[in-house]
Amino acid sequence: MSNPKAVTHDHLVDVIDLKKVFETRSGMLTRAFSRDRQPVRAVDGITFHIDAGEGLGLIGESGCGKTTTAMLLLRLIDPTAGQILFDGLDLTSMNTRELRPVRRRIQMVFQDPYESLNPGKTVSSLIGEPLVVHRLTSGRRDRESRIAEIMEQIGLVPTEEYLKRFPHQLSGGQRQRAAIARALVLEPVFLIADEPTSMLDVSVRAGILNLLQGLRDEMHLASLFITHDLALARYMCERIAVLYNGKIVETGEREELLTNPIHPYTRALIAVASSLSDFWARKQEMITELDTDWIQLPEGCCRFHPRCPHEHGDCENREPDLVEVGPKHWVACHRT
Amino acid sequence: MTEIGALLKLRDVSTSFFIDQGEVKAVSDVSLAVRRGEMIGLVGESGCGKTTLGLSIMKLIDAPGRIIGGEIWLNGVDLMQKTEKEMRRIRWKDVALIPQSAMNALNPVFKIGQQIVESIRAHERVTTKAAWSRTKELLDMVGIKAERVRDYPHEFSGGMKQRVSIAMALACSPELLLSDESTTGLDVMTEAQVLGLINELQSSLRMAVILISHDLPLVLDISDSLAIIYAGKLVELAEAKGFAARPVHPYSQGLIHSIPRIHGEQETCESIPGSPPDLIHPPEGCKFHPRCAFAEPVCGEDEPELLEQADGRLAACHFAERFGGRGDVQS
Repeated sequence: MSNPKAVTHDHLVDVIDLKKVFETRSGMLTRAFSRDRQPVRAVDGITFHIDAGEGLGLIGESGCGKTTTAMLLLRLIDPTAGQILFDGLDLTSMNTRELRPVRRRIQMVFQDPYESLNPGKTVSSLIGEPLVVHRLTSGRRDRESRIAEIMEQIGLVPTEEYLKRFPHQLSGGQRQRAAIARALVLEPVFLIADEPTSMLDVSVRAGILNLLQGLRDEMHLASLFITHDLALARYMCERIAVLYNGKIVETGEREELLTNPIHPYTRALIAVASSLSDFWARKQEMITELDTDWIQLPEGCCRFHPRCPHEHGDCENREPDLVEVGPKHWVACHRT
Repeated sequence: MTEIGALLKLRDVSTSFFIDQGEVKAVSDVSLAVRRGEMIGLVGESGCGKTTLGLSIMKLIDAPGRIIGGEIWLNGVDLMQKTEKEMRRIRWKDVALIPQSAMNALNPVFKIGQQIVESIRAHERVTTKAAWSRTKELLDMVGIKAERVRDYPHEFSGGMKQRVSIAMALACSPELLLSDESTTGLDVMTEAQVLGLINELQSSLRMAVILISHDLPLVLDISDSLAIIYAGKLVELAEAKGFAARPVHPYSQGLIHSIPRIHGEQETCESIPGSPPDLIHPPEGCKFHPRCAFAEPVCGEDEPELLEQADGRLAACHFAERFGGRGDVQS
């Protein structure tokens, strides 16, 4: 499944057995008092692909490695092992200079538009900055027309009214629109969106989702949509991958995954999102709550087994691989 | 929604914050009744006044804010007539709050047991020993092993800390529990379990619960009734069951239509145009009219009252009958 040589280049993005281990640096006190310090395996061997124009939803709880995956794809942090192929190029072996033209084609929209925009810059300079950095426009006039064009596209109109505004003069939804404009002004082919609506009010969320969908169609954008909300993933993506503790536990086409989930974690997530009252009444899908935030598991076991509602067979001794259970539907669980 | 025998009755409660720029009318003329054993969801966008309303019920509004009018009846007692000293006895004993962020609500340098014992002893004359054994019972009730009473907050997970703050809120067996976004920020699984606990305790202890939340699907799923608040005003008060199929107020309709679904037909979601009004200078007439697709001239002139509709729900819209309510059936 994770043999790099077997991979063909028909996918736009190919992630192969990607790993990121954070070494926990500790101070004198921790060293003196703490017995076992283990490195954090934030992303632990994940493999997936995204086709041109396709949307993949990455689902999981906080701390499962969603954002680390996004950072790795952009090479904002360096992977410990594994490969990222983008349009046939191996991003993992490139240096900063080689990466620059690639980065123009992979862009990201961050979670919090209250933090991700420089408060001292106007909308026009925020959107113009990437154009300057990548030397994409010839002169000021060219740049200004490009800025106005993208602002119309993302709905900050009339443009004259917003050009000279600072982020604090925009609402949350407008800020996120400006952040999207900043990403899309470079005409990328791959967009990573990390919980782009979770800081926004319900009533403006749908506007941002529809905008992103429209732009995806218009620009034939591939996208990785990171969220903890299954209904949002269904709305935005053709395929969904469920991440648990640094591992993909299930992936499939959206309707297939939502109507026929197999992994106990996916089943629980769907049960909770469908109806909490049913979930409480049946308790079938109930998974164990952890006592502490920090759980250290030895390598070579199913990451989910301490919370799994089913009998443990091999789960403590062997890590399950992703197995194909149906067309494009893969599950990592010994019970399948 | 009937007021007879209600545990909590609010009549025309208004709370404002007086800042340099003017008076922020955070809550205006809210009337609401909550029965014993009822779970009511208070839903609205951020800044709509839902937390201010919750804090007003406990009279926890600090300067520059002030409750400027109305009556708050809890169990036949008008809290507005109570002094701060008297309120201190009522809070926690009769009405308790689970705050939004358990991580910040617990004192990091005291063992959780000590914190619960302290709150029990501040409200009841009991021996330290009795308070400790009560604390262990409370923790057991929320699913935490009694031997963990001597652990510090950092030794618990987020969900477990939220359980500790629930145990703390229940320490003096309140009749009314306010949960202010108490599960926001927790993971969905943990949220499911914490809310399940609140739900279980509510029915076994016959508590009334006010669930303050921005998550409409969640509230519709688990509460008995629903109060939708917009710009400090109640715009619709209805039974939660079946609400998603027929919201009456255009704002409620907008909220329902803005949320993607996990099963069934996938409809295109729509956002509500515009943004919530400035509460220092709220619009004339209906506060929602600048964002309303159905607004007519009257909406900008007269503020609609919250009136009873044919099916018993309350809605504040001049054209409620168009949307399935009946504006002319006056209570």
